[in-house]
Amino acid sequence: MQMQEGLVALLKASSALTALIGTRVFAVEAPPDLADYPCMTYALVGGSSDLPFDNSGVTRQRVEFNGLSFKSYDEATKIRAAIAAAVDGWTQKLTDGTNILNSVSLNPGTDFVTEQRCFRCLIEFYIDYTLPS
Amino acid sequence: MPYSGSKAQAGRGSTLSIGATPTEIGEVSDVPFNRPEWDFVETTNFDSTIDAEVLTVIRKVATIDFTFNRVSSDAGQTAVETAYQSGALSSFVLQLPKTSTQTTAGDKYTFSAYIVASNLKVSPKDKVAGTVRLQTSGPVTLTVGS
Repeated sequence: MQMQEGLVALLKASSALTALIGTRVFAVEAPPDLADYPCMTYALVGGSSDLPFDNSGVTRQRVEFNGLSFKSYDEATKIRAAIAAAVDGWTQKLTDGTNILNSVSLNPGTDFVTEQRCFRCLIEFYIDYTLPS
Repeated sequence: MPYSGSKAQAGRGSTLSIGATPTEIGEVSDVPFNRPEWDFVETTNFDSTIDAEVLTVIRKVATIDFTFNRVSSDAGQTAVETAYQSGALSSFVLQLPKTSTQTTAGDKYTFSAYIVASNLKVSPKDKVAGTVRLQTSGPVTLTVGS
C-alpha cells in the first residue's frame, strides 16, 4: 500500500471528516458535479529524500489538502479542521511495509474562493515515511 | 583535448565500519572525511629571496564529524556507543563503491580514531539523527580498489 493509499484510508476512517463529506475524498482535483460537494482533495506538491549510504532513507512528502464547500466558508473551515485532526501526528506501518514516521503541519491554512464561488480552505503537511525494506 | 566525460563516482553505496572485524555503521548519511594535515616550520633565512620558505615536519591529527539516522538495533551504532563510553581507540574503514572499472572492490580508507563525542538531535518535526566526532590517531591509509 503506497503512502497515498494509506492516507486515503486514514481520511475515510475519520468520523469527524465523514460526518462532513462522507467518503468524498478526491485526488488532485475535485469533480465538476455539485452533487460531489462538500468534499476534500489531496495532492502531492513537493518533497525531498534524505539519503543515507545504505538505503532510501526518509522521504519527506509535502501534501496539500483542501476543504471545499459551495455552501459556506464555515463549512470549508470545518472540513479543514477535521483533515488536520486526522492527519496530524499520523504514524503507521502500512501493509506493504511503508512506514509512516510522522506528519507535521507546515502551512496551517490559506483560504481561497474560486470563480464559481466555492470556498477552498487549504492546509499543508509534511509526511515523513520510509519505503519497505 | 576533446572532452571525454567525467569519471567521477557517486558516494551512495559507501560504508563506514568500526572495529577490528569491521561492522558497518548503519544509515550513515554524511561523512566529511578530513585527513591529517601537514604541519610546517619556517626555514626562511638570509639567503631566501622574496618568498618565505617552509618545511613539512609532521601531519597533525584530523577531526571527522559524521551524521547518521539513529537506528536502535543497528550493530554498528551499538559498537560506536560502546567505544564512546570506553574512550578506547577504535579501527575504522571508509569503503567507497566500485568505480565503473573496478570489479572486486572500491577504494577504501583505513584509520584509527577516538570517539570524542556522540550527540543526538531530537525534534518533533524531524527524524532522530546522530552526529559523531572522531579524532584520528596515526595514519589514514588509502588502499586502491581493483
